[in-house]
Formats: sequence, structure tokens, C-alpha cells
Amino acid sequence: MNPVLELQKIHKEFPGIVANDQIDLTLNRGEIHTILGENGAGKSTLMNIISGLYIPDSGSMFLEGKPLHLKNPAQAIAKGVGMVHQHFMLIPNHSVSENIILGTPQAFRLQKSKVRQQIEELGRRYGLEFNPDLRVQDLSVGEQQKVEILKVLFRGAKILILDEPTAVLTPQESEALYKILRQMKKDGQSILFISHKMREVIELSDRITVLRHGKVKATRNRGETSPSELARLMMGESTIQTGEVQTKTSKASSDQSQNKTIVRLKNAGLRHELGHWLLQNINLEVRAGQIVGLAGVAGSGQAPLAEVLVGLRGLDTGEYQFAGEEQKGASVSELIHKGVGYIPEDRKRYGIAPHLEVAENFLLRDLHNNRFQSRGWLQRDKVTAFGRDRMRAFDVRAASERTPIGQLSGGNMQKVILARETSRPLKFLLAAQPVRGLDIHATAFLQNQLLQARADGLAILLISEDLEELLLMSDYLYVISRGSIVGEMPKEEAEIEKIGLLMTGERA
Amino acid sequence: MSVQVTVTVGSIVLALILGSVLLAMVGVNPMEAYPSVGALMFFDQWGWQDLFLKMTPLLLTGLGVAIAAQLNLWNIGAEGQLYLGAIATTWLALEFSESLDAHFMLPILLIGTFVAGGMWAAIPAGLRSWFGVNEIITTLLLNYVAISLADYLLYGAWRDPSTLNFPMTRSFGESSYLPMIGSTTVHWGLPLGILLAVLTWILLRSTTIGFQIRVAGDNLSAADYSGFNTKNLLFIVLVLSGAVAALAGMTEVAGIHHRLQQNFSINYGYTGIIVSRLARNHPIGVIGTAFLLAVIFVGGELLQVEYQLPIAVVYLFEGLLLFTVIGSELFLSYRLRRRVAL
Repeated sequence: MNPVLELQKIHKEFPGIVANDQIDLTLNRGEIHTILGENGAGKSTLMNIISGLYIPDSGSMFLEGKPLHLKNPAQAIAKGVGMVHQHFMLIPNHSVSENIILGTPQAFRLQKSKVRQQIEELGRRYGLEFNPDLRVQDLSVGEQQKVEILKVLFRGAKILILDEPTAVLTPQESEALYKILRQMKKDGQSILFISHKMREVIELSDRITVLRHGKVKATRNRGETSPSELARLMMGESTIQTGEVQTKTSKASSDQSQNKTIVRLKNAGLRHELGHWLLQNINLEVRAGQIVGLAGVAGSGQAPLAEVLVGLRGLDTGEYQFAGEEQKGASVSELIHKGVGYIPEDRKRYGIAPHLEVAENFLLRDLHNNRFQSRGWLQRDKVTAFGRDRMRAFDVRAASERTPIGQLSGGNMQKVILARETSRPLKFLLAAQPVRGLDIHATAFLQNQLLQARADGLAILLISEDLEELLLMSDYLYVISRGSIVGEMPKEEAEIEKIGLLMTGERA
Repeated sequence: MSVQVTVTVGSIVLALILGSVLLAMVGVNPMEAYPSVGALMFFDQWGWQDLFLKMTPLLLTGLGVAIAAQLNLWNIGAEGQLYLGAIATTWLALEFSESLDAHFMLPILLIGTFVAGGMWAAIPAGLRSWFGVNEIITTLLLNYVAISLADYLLYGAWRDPSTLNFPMTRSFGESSYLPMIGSTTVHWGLPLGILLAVLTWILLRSTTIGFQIRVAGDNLSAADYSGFNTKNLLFIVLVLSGAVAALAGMTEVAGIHHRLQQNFSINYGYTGIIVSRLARNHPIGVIGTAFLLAVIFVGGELLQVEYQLPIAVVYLFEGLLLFTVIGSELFLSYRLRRRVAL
């Protein structure tokens, strides 16, 4: 064993919470070590400590046996700790090589040919080959991530930290990434891999350390653990049964093809202001009592499609029918009135008014309901009572119904949004990434609520980048790529492989 | 809320301390000047009446700016709106005050000025709502238009020949005089301002339109997503903002001067921005900060008279106050961010 990095009793507190509680961790040379944990388990805090963004309250770090004191990320980079962030830190309209040398010491006059040579050499060694003159904006997400990795390698990183790297990748791109990581491991690089996806972790890692509530629960070697053990370690003994969601799914009403069509897009097309097509030839149907899944890599047209369906944008070509009626130019409020519910992908940006009370946030999209107002005057006591009641029903954890909603955790915020959208008569619910970033309890709760809503006859369109979630929840699947529907299939015929290929735009 | 008030009061005290250093530097003993100016201001008949008279236009312009700020709009045009309000009042007063008595004249002045100010503000409001033109620039530039329009009228059609070519109109008929409160020289513009501040607060807190404004001000995207017509909201709020600020013009010319004359506003409109900002754009808070700025105005006048200090000292005081209060706000948001970082 040859430890590259050692952490001893690393402790970090924020007001009111212990983010990292006496953490011990070693990273050996040539190993892939995964840090596994739910959201909020303290993974990010720990990585931010290692990469110099946070300074620990106590505890010590050793790099190759020597004490390591980091005051800022620049020092970490200089010492050979490289971080590949979940959200890429690239400049889109600069070239690959310009992005890679960014922030590295260079001669006053850039020696581009030398840099290019170095990049090509690194690329060849790890299978990260690129034309260094391409602009980053012209690369796919998977390629951009490779640029990020190259960037870190170029700086001579001894330790590579990858923060949830597969969250934005297709299954094929993920496979390619694993290959690169294995190659780097062979080459003696040490890799810290952060994830909450158990399957990929078990295949890839030499060792797995599970964090829970800021503490190390266990470290396991390759082959010495199982998904169920890891799940128990991550979630604690009170883990809800994964079967719980599944059983309900299988009880889907068998003959949905007889149900009424609620949402229908016919040859729908939408142009960007600059002229290019955001959506083209979209044909899509959602029936009552059905969950239809929309699979696709992030940025494939899901956002404009959602905006069309809820009335934020009007189509340029084709038709949008809701409950059998053409909706040309229907506004958001008209569609709300007709029974459209919407759980937006970016819940903080679209779903809430952060400084308003939780109870007041129940009025968004439902303001003119007589249970809240009378002739334009708000009935504050009714607003408060309704908020309190819904918060209890949906198990929203907050100090009170008068707390500003921005102070709630993501899961509780999402519960408020779901509670709001399902608390008035709905025909159709558009749920975009409804469980992203939520912990397993909140996820199960939300998914069960959606299944319950389906059983009550609601038409649901579920937009997600997580294929497993889609396969678990949906009755019928569409795949979107570059603004067009590239495939559709009933759940029984859906396979991850096939959908993954479609997502990248290739015909299966 | 209480933290904010504490911090604001603390920063005012800090400004007074820094101001005392300033006074000492120009050779005035602050330990002597503060109490004597304070006594004149609060206990002298002339002093406190002047305080309330100065507070009135500051309250109305400040409230106007604060209304726009509810949607994160910057109305820099309160000065121009004040001038336009004064022009509207003057036109109505010159035209009708001989033939109508006060019972008709005062409501006509109030409503007419309000409507005129709203129409004036509809220019930047419309440009902003439907063409996305930045309201900071349009409202600012319209100030010069309104001030020049007043000059044009004062040197032309409205000049009173009996004033020996001074640029002022003839005096209004008495039916256009705003009545005084009791036996004081303070006119009813002040209660009007306070009433409007309270009404604004009620509108925001207790009505559905106010709720839409609060949501849109907090998160415009969420308002769009909620089906609120945010373009209309922007338009309505900016128009309302200008209409309220224009009333400051009415209270000045109908309440004090009883005629339109050049330079009747000592930057009340621009100071209104400070009034609103100090109150963190809170419509009720504006009442307090308008009073505070009036104290600085009157205190400065007294320093000029009693200690022969230049007007620049007053501006320095204003600047210090703004500096400490806005500085303290950074401090507040820093603390806030730390909690969020959990």
C-alpha cells in the first residue's frame, strides 16, 4: 500500500450542522476510491476541503506523507490535487487548448505548438484525443468533460477528484469515461470518485467509502460488498424497501390505450429567436391515467418542449391539443385553468418565490382560487391554514408555514411544489426532473405521489435524464434528441442499451 | 426585520459620528452644534414646521421610487415626475382656480396631477414592458425633458409680466391653495403622503395584484411560470410610481409657493431615491427615512445659518449617511449568505 493522500480526523462544521465529523480516509497510488453517500452526507464538503475551497476546523491532511495545509484552490492545484467539477468550468467560445492552459503559468508569448504537442501526448496516453483548436461550445457534454479531465492532467495532477461525473452522460459516454479512468489508474494516477449511483460504483472502484450524516460509515474493498449492503450503509437501517415503488408500478391499469388522450402534439415545431429549430416534428401523446416518460440527454429540447406544454411559448408549426382542443396561443394562466400542473426542472428558478412564506408559495399558479381570495382581497388566515394543512399532508419539514420557502431543503421545496400542483383539479401534470437532487426518502415519497396521481386518472409526462427512474415509473417512453423525437416504445420493450443509443442521436 | 432596523439605526449613528468628525474639521464643535441644531429643529416653531414641509415631497418621491423598486425597477425619474406634477397642477390652477372653489379645485388638482404623472411615466413604462428598454436610462433622461419643459413655460407662455421678468407664473387663486393643518404652516400634503404609503402597503400585503407584484419582484421567472402577466405588472407599477412621485410637485406648488417658479425643487426627486433605498424600499419605512432626510436638509440649513457652513456640508452628510447605510446592507447580506451556505 502506498498512500498518496491521507486524511486524519477531518472535521468541518457550519452553523447548526456538522458537515464532516472526524473523517479518516486514505487514497492509495493507482487506485479508484469512491466516496458514496446521499445528498447532504458531506461528500461535497469533504471534496471542497481536499481541493482547498474550505479550510477544515480541525484534523490534518498528508500528501505523500508530508503535511498538507491548503488555504485556497490555487495551492491545491499547485500541489497536484485536481478537481473535475460537476458543472464544467470551461469558457465556451475559447478553444480546447486555450481552456486547458487557462490559469497555468505560461511564457508571456504563448507557445501554442508546444502546448498542442503536450495536449496531444496526454490525450494519446489516456484516449482523450481532441483537435485542440476546436471551440468548447462545439463539443458534446461528454467531450467537454474530457476536456476538464485533460485540463486537470495538464496541470500535473497526482490526485484526480471527479464530482458526480456521470450525472450528465449517456450510458455509452459513461462507459467511455470508465475506460479512461481505468487507463489512468494503470498509469499510476489516484482517483477519488464521488457518486450516489451504486451500480457504477461497484464495477469501477477498488475501494468504496460510505459517508452518512458527515461520518464515515464503512470502507469496503472491491468484491467485498453488495448493492444491498451499500444501500443499508448509505441510508441507515430504516431504509425504505425499494420494492415499494415497484409493486405499485406493476399494478398499472392494463388497458391505457382506451383512456382519453389529454395532451397531443402534432408535428410540433419551435424556432429559436435566431431562426434555428429548437423542436421539430414532435409527435407525442399522453393519456389519462398514464405516465409517459421522456428520455434524453440534458439540453436535447426538453426545456422548450416543457415551455410549450405549459404555455410559456407558442408553437411555430404544428398543433398542441389539450383535452381535444387546439391551444394556439393559449397563455400560462389559461392552461392552468384548464388543468395543467407543472413541476419545473429548475425548481428554484421557476417554482418558488424564495423570500415569500411557504404558505404564500401555495398561491403561485393558483392565485385566483376562491379558497385564497375574495374579490381581489387575499384571505390571509385561509392562506395560512391551507399551507399548514398541505404541509402536514405532504410531510413538509419547516419551522412553520410562515418560514420563507428559500430556507427549506430541496426535497421540502419540491414537496411544496408537488403539493401545490396537485391541490387543484388537474388533467395533466408535467414533471421535469422531479426527484433530481432529492434524498432517497423524498424521492420515494414523490414517486409514490406521482403513481397515486396516475391511479387517480391524471395524465403525467415525466421528463428525466435518469433512465432507471424512467423505466421504473413510465408506462410508455419517448426519446428526444436534438429537438426531435427519435424513438418511442411501450415500457415492456424498453431497454437501457437501446434508449441510450437513441439518446445520442443514433438510430438503434 | 428587527435586525434590519437595528442595523439601519446603527448606521445612522455611525454617520452622525463621522459627521461630527467632519464638523470638527471645518472648525465647528459637534458637541455644541448637534444639540443646538437639534433644539432649533425640534422645539422651535419654525424648525419643526419646516421639517414637516421638507418631509412631504421627500416622502412622496421616496414612495414613488419604492413602488417601482417592488419589481426591482429603478425609477430615477422622480425629479422629472415632480416637475411634471408641478406643471400639471399649475396648468389646472391657472386655468380653473378663479372659477371653481376649493371643494372642486383640490380633488381636481389631486386627480389631475396623479393622472398626468402616470401618463408621463407611461412612456418609460411602455418602453420597458414591450421593448425591453432599460428604465434607468429613460426615466433619467426624461428628467431633463420635464425640467426644460418647465423652463420653457416659465420663460414663455406662463411668465407673469408683473414679476419684473423673473421666471415665475402669477399666483394661483386661493381655491388652489392646499389647506394648512390647524394653525400651523404645515399643509395637508404630509397626511396625504402617509395615507398613500399605508395604502401601498395594504395593496402589496392584502390584494391579489399586490401578491403578484411581490412574487414578480422576488422571482420574475416564477411569476411568468405562475401565469401572471409580468409585462402588465411592470407597466402598472412604473406608472403608479410616477403618478405618486408627481404628487410631490403638486404639494410643493399648491402647498407652499402657490405658483410655479424656477428651481423650486432642491433635488427632492433624486433624494427620493435615497429615501427609498434607506428604507430598503419598504413603503412604511419610507415615512421614517423621509423624516430622517428632512432632518438632514433642515439641519444643514441651520448649520448654514448658524455656523455659516457651505451647502456642500449638507451634501457630505447625505453622502455619509448613504455610505454607512448601504455599507451596512452589504454586511447584512453577507450574514444571510453564510446561513444559506449550509
